[in-house]
Amino acid sequence: MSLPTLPDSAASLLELARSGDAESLAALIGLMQPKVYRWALGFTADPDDADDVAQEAFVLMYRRLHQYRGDQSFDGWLYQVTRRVASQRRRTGRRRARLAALEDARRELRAYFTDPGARIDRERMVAIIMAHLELLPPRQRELFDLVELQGLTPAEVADLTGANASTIRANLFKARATIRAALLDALPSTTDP
Amino acid sequence: MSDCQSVRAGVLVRELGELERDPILAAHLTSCARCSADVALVRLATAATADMLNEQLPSAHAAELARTAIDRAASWHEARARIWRRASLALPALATAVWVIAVSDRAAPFRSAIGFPDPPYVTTIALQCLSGSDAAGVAGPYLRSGGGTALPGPEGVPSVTLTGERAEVAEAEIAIAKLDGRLGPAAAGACRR
Repeated sequence: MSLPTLPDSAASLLELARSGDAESLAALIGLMQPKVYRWALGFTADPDDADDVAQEAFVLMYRRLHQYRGDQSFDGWLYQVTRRVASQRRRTGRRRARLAALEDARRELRAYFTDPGARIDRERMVAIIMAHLELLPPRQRELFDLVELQGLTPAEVADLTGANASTIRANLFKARATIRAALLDALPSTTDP
Repeated sequence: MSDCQSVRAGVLVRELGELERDPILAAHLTSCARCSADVALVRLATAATADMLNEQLPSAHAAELARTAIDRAASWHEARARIWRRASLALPALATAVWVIAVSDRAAPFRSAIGFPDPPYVTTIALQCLSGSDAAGVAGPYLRSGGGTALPGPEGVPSVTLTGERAEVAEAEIAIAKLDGRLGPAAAGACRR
């Protein structure tokens, strides 16, 4: 099945999909897949689990598309669907050993530096952040991922998560403090003051 | 608090760009190699982690994912429709069964067993031969359960009032009728008061 050529606008696709047009629905899924996958990766920290969560999220999206009233952004609505799927998955205990999977994922990374020593340092930095990210409470982990790693603005995060500004700010501060303190402790500066 | 401590505190919780927009901290960062290295480390590690996650690609091809999601959602819709169809067939049968249980005499023991006993059945029989107290004596052994009673009528009114479960009262009525000359061989010589 190839994705049909349809209007670029997600809003048009959404309207057509809601009216039952299967090709528009397929195009909408194709359009949203990268976002949903990245959100799922933030929740699961596991590429395989993220694929599964994304698929479940799209199944749920299709089932509940008629419930979307347009009183929030479609991204926000779909984010909540993805989060629900991810948390159900976590509760049912089907999550895999996430750090082990990340280790595999890291092997596939392109090299940022030609200097092998520098790449190892970079991988070590990533590993420290991921390990401590894993230990954060879910809300802090979610907000750190959205703001610091996905680069969303607090307003965009509020739209996606429904959290208010003070909640976002407080959780972000705590998450940054944990992650950055761990990073600076693990990789202290060797430069003399 | 020294400038190094201020920078360290800011590095732990603030957005890194904010530090460089603060004139005092920015001036310190240009002169303090260690603080500058800390900021650089946090920035590099965060960027590396963001790149690692953001550059992950879903393994599922968009079109394949769309087809799978649509197929699965369609199966769910079909399964739900099947359940509703079965329920719509089963509901009339269930309603009939409930109605039978609710009103049938045969179901009285069942109703008693599940805690919904019938209200006591009451009937008064006019007597032709027996006195009220005799009839009550005849009926007594039949009214075994449910607080059944047989009360003779008032003086000058040859009757007996039976109270109890419908089946037992019916048995008592038959026994009284036989002895009162209204049933069986005795009926031919029914007494006349």
